[in-house]
Amino acid sequence: MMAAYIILAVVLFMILSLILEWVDRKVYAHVQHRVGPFVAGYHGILQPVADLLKLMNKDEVVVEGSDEQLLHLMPILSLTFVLFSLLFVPVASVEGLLSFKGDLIIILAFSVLIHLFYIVTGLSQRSIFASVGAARWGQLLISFEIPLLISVASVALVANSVTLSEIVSFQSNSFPIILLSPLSFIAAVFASLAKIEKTPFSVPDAETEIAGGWLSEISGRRLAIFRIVTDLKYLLLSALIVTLFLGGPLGPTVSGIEPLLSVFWFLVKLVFVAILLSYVRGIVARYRIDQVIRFFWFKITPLAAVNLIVLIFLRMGKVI
Amino acid sequence: MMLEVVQIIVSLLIIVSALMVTEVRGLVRMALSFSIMSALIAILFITLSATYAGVFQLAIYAGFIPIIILVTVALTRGGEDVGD
Repeated sequence: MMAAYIILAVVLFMILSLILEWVDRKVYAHVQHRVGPFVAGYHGILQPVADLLKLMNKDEVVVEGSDEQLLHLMPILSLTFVLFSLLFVPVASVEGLLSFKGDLIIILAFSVLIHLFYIVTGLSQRSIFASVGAARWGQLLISFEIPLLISVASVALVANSVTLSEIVSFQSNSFPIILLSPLSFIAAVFASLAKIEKTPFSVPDAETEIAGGWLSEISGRRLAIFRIVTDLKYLLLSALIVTLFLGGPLGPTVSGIEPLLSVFWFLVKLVFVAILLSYVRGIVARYRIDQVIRFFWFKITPLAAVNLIVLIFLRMGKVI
Repeated sequence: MMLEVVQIIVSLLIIVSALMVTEVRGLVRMALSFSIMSALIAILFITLSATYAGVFQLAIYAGFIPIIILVTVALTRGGEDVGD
């Protein structure tokens, strides 16, 4: 029974991630006064599927001298890990499909492991652009993981737990955590943007400088899988922000159809956060790598740290 | 009983992957083997009911340390190994 639920959840998450990609592209296009995808389906809603099918049909070209076994392994591993960490996110009730003590840290650990696979992908191609992209991924990673972890730590401090179901039930008993940690919310939004390599921080695959970066020699099915992984990561981070700061699936409910309304509130908050991420992506230009690191270390990390320190003092004074 | 068998198998796999770290060719594969070894140690921690130690082992030693090694590899690799 559990296996059937998990398979159903995986399929639904994939469909949801493709719809989110459409939302992202539409919002991004409208910010720039374009119409965006318009041909396939209603207002182009099937365009991500069409892109995926096109990539699936293409030939895979492997440059001579690159490590082919690792290049086969890495897309599959990253897809597995991102899907596995999505199963922990609570959608229909307070608890996710999988849940155990400390699952928030395991989600963060898996999201770091996905970047490890990205870097290995970049380094196992025989291309200078891919190597530069992989090195940039590492530099980007040490700049945005710190504020992300600090902001998650302040959430864990307020809820007094590192388990997602306990954080959500804390919020159902009192209030959404964003009221106590607004600065952490801002830091988490920027760190998420960097994590899904959207425009202001799209340094590792900068098309204008290093021709696609860590993906420059990847083609065909592997590129398709990496695109799904990016979409699922977009879904995962939006869902994580919704769960941690906005109360996850909580909202006004009518008794009898609670799971349905939980899913509805979750999707409403998810689309709100996704539109916020796309809008930020649309209105700013891309930073250089040194500017990104300076931005995260000297602006976003202090922002998250101030919030955490204030919360620690509040906890010591027994206010929360 | 079942748990002990799992622990013995995982311990043997830890030894194998630790040997792989030293024997495998190429720095990228070496870092990956190190990550696998750390993940197996995390599984061992979790089966010994030290969940938090296992989870942090997974986050730090299987995630961050190989990334730092790989970044060092990528930043110091000379022209002889990459492209033409």
